[in-house]
Amino acid sequence: MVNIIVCIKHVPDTETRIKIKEDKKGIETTGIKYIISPYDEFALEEAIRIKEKHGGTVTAITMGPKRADDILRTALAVGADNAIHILSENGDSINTVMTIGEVIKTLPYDIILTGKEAVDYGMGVFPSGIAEYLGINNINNVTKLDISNRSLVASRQVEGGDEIVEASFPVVISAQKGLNTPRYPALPNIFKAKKREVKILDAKSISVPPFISGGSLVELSLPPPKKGAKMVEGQTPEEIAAKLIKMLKEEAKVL
Amino acid sequence: MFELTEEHKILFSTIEKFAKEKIAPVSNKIDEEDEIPREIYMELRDMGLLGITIPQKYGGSEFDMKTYAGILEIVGKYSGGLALSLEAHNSLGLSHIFEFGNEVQRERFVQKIINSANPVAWGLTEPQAGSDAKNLLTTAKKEGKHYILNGSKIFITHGVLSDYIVIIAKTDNGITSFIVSGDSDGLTKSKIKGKLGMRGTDTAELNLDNVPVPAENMLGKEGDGYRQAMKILDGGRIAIAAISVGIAQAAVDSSLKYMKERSAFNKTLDNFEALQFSISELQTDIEAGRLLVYKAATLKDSGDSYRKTAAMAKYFTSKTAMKAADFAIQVHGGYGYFSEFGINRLLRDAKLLEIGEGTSEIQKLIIFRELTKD
Repeated sequence: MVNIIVCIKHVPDTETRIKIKEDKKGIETTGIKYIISPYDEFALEEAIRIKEKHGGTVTAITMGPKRADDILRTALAVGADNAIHILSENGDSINTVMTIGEVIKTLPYDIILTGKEAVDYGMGVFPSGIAEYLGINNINNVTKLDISNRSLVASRQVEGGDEIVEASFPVVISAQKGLNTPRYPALPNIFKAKKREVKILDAKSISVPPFISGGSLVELSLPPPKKGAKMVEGQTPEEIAAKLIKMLKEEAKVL
Repeated sequence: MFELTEEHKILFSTIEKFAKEKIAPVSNKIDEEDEIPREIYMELRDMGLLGITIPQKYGGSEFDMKTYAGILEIVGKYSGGLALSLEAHNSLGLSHIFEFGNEVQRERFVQKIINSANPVAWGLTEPQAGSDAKNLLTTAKKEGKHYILNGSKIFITHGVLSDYIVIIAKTDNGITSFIVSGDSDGLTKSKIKGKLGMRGTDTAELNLDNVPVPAENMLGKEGDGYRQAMKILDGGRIAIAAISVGIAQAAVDSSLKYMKERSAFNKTLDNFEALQFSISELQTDIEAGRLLVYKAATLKDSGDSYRKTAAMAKYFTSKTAMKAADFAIQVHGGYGYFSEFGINRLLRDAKLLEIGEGTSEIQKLIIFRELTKD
């Protein structure tokens, strides 16, 4: 029996056309469709697979506004046993780590699974942050996971290859693409999930140690529009290659 | 009346995600090869799409008609062929067995069909008779504990693939329907080639040469078949209309996307008023059609008469799908005429919607009859 906690975040659909608010401190949220952050989806799927293979319970936790309820329903529909919603309108990474950490402290846990980063702000602070806050093991960017006898062996992506790491429970695992292919929920389960209980906590009522935030948001801006590709033309492969080398030297200055 | 609940929103976005990830990458292949990959049926089954309106007790998902229509609209946006397969399976064959089958037949066939992930077929049309169903020539003669079936059926969706086919035939006391096993002696099934659109769904010709069918496979009583078939077609029309809305929406969505990207005479196409007007007109028709579909579905869900509204929905939305697909090809120019962008498929698929399960002319006959009946 493995007690698994999955931390998931609701983020704008990756196909959303982002518009920045006038004060440059946030994005326009009207009309945006929210989804489970794709890396968190891998984490959720892995949690359910571990439960199916080894037995245990899966508890999905999210911290966010009321609309984040959707992703907990989806988690319940694909096989999570419990869901906890920490209601919060905003919270920086450190605050999120500590608030969720305080909630996790009240629960039994062996493995905490989450995505390697959320695809909205892409900070990637949470996995190691929560491990540090709870004082437990941590393996990030995991693409393969094998559980045996209160410990696990994980493959994690490192520059140029894979690293095999072993750790005992409890441990925080952050999921990288390739860990698994998430399933689609059986549709009737979506309706059943709506009737199940989601435990709601107010972030304000959870006390966390005093902290100084590491940074504050100054301004958001959109990336510059991508320039079109440049076609290198010529009659023969030799001529094209010569032109390409010249361009790489003189225009791109990479050679 | 038409507000979506939270769970419907989650459900539809799940289908949309599935369609984007699993159907969109193969929709051109389904069209080119005229075959739906087997894995897709398995995934549809696992998600609960092979028994959409069937009660959970019999292995179905127990969704109402409105939810079913919403699902078909989304699948229709990505692959008309696959949507039609889902429609023929759920609305025709499976619904017929479930609605008119007795408890024994329901227990014996419904869950088995859903679990097998083999879509079921429904055989009404014959070479000489479509909507004129009283003119059927296929016969069923009772001999002891069996009925012996003779005749031929044409344009039967899933005719080759299916393990079971509902066959509608003439008996001594009128028209009667039977569950016929796909591997029956005397039954020959052949795929019909050269289909314009809705490719992927297996469309077959069936020949019945002294096919013995156990009497316990009769659905309802002798003589009930005509009324049953008309009722099944009424429901099917709502589903066909939902697919029509999906195809029309796909045509407008892809046109609008292309208009924003493509330039002519130094401005993108979305700056041309003639094209803006066309988009506005088509989207208005789509939304009006969608409301007709929802109205017909809501009437069916609440047990009210929906024959007229279903006919109106099918007539109107299939015409809209044709108009929208025609516009999509026009706006895409050469890229629309060729297959690569999947645009010409929309027009080829849309044409079936004006023909299958009663032509537009039949829909207008039904609407008039419903309007003038006492």
